[in-house]
Amino acid sequence: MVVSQIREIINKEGVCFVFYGSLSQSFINFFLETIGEQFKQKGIEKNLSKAVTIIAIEQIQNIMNYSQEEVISSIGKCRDLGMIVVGYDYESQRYYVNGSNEIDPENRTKIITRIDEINLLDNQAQRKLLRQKLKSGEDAHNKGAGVGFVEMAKRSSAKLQYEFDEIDGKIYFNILTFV
Amino acid sequence: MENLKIEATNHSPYIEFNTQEGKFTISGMSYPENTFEFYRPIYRWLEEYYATTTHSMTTLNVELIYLNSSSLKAYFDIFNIIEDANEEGKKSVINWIYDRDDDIMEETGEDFQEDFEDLTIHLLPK
Repeated sequence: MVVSQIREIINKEGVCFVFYGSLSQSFINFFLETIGEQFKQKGIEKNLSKAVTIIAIEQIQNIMNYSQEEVISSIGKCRDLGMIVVGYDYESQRYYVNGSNEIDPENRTKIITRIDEINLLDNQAQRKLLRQKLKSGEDAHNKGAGVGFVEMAKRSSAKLQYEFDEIDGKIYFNILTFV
Repeated sequence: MENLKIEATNHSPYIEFNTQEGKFTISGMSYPENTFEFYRPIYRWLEEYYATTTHSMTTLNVELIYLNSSSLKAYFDIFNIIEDANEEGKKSVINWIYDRDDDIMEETGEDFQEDFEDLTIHLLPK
């Protein structure tokens, strides 16, 4: 059965939380409560728990702002679709946050340039870059400050990893962050 | 000038700006869906306050638990307004209050201290 297959993946990949669907502010509230309770029960250190949630919220709000994926049916429209996974990587013994959403193909090059630029920097330089961008407002737009990737990188313990999937002529952007 | 009071939600902070006392409070979570829409009235209110206030000192207590990257930008803009007023002699003190175990909020406060050297920003762990 499907649940057995999903359970097997969840156990193998150390998944603590997984969601695919329409993402919204009320979803974030639910996510924070659920993951917060889970981390508390596991005795996860407060700053680690907070870093995971900061990265996850940035990824979720990116999906809400940029996802091109929607489902239109006879009963209505479901928009801002995306996937978010939080888990524990047994091999590197670190938590990870993995997000995915369909993007506008025109944004592909911009995403690559932006992440590659951030990945060249160490933590102090990322901190400096974030403050410089906040000061200048150069990447700000009507949906946000445009500094989500820098904030994620600052809170992570490894370079931001990304890839693009092409499915049925659509481009999906996947981002993986280790904390 | 009217006081400003905005109740907290799960994703936006409690805001209380008291004109008569020159005391402002911001507390809670900050990750609104549209950050600029949420903070725009606050920028306008602050600009008007500093243009008209006779207080020689204004106190802003900021006690945030979490803020997303867009909110960081919003606080950068708020501190810019306060810094501009400061240059015109309308002094302010900002108390950045955070949980003493919260390294992330402490670091955020330190960054603001470095970026706004002319402002008095106290880091207050509790």
